[in-house]
Amino acid sequence: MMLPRDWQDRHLDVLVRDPLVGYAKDGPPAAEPLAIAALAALGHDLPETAYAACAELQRCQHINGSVSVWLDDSGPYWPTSLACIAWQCFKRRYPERISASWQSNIDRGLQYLLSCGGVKNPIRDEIGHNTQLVGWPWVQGTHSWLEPTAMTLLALRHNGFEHHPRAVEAAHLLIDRQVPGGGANYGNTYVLGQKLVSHVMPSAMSLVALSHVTPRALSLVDSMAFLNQQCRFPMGAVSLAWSLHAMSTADADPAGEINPDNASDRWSALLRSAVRRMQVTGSQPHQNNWLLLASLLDRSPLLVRNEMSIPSITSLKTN
Amino acid sequence: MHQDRRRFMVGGIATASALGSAAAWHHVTRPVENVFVARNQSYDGDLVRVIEDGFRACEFDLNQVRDRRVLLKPNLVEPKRTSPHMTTHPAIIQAAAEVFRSYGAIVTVGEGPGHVRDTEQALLDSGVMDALVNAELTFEDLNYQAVAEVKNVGRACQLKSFFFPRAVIEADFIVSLPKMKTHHWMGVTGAMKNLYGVIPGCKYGWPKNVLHYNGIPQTVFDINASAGRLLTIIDGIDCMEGDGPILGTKKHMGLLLVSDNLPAADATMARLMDVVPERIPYLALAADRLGPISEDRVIQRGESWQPLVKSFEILDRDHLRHLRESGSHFVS
Repeated sequence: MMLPRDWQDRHLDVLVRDPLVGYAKDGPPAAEPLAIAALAALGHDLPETAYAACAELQRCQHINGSVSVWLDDSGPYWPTSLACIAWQCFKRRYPERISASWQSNIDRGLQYLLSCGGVKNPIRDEIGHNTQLVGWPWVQGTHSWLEPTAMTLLALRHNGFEHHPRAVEAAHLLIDRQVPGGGANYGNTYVLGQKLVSHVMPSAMSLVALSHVTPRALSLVDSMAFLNQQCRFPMGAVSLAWSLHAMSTADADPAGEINPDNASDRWSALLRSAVRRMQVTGSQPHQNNWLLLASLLDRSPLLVRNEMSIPSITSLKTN
Repeated sequence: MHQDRRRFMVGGIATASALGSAAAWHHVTRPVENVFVARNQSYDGDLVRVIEDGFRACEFDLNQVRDRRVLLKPNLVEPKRTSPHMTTHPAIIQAAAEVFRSYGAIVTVGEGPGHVRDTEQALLDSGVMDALVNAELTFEDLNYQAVAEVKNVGRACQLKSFFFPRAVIEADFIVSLPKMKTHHWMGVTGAMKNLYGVIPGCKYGWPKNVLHYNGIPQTVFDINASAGRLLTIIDGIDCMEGDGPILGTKKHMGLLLVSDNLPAADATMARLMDVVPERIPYLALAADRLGPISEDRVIQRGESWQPLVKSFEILDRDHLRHLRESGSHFVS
């Protein structure tokens, strides 16, 4: 048991009672928290709860396939990727429960994602990353950034699009945006000649999105080392959740050198520390659902398990 | 004003004051503005008294905040445990809260970190989490709060409106608590630029790239023009020079600046850094529209700025070289 049993039971009850959550306890429902609620419920064998969250995302999906942050029509639509992951995971787990139009929701979501992309910026000496790789932006009409690209790559891989040229390009983008020495940030490596700082959450997100990708980029080994090092310090619940996912992938320990018991103790300690802190500061259902999901470790439905091979960057044809 | 928070998002576009509190505030440029400067300050000093003295010296009646919602907005753009000089010191937040609370205000702290999506992580790394707990302060995560669409009153950029978080709309006073820093694109960043953090990341991204595409100076100006009533307390104690606002080095100044006019405060801050305020693009835009920036129209309270000037190192780049009269203190 990774989480304290009473805490887990209490928050699973909360999830069952109200899967239509937002970012804040008293805030309106939002797409990302709904998708995470669906995945947490799936992982903990709560099909009705997962269904409710998935269905709400479907209800709010637009004709063009997009799902807006606040489930309205004002955008932006970056959570479409997370909705596609939740829908696909539900379909895979409970194929007998899905509606006739379920696959259509997924298809339209993926079509929308593939119709979007980041704006290519001119190549400039001041900027360290490859500004010509398209990836995905937070908001249409702006540049691509690491986190929306990682989430969309995950969505494509969950849905069998790992060989799509956009997926391959996204993998290259995430590798390109790793900061030399380890880790990643929101998506810049060098600005005005200075190497930027790495942060936990984008580092972990890129490692999750690039799990089982071959050939393994050396920079990702450094990023995993960065993440391991950061686990010595207090982590926010969502950063911790992404980190546990990253460290639960086979890529975290390719040589099988880590004692699974030691790793389990360490992760359990991290989760319990996050729970203790949230008991002081006040927790939000969205954060709780992330911890419920992360506590599943390598059984989390968020993780992709299919192999993805990518050609060298030189043979990549950018869009 | 009662708001059902689960139904906060509203249709149509209104001004911040019309949507939010009873205090309809219009930016009216007065001929002169006051800026208070205190020197020899430290984070373990009597910051409460200094801030109170500062507002009094600026002829801002703190009794105005009684029963009003005051939102303290620190700068937590991208906190890092090893760079405390990057972010507003927790002691400044605690002291500001104590001042406004002592006058009967309902005080909250809010921020939407620009580069970090996990706001809890930003609070941990900046040390602000502990300060919030110790002072029993409520935190508003401006990146993920429900939003309402507010008219862009400034219209220096192409955006017709901004989405502001609930806490920003409902605040009667927003107190910008920036760190005194250099900025590798704009030259300096202070009270006005700090308001980028009231813009929700979930709508504008991490970084808030929509704003960049619409012009940094223009959007800084427009956000300041469109937000409600603004005050500022600038953390000029341990500052940042060189490659700010993230990677610069620490520079001790020991200063605290207080004002109820952000352009005037930023202009004084720039002078203290040996930067010509009129050459900072967003200050040039704000001049005489949101407040005065010329030396003869900013009344210095407390200390005179001239003896306190220390040249902040600025990156030796084409777009920054004109910011200083002298050609000194540029670094590569």
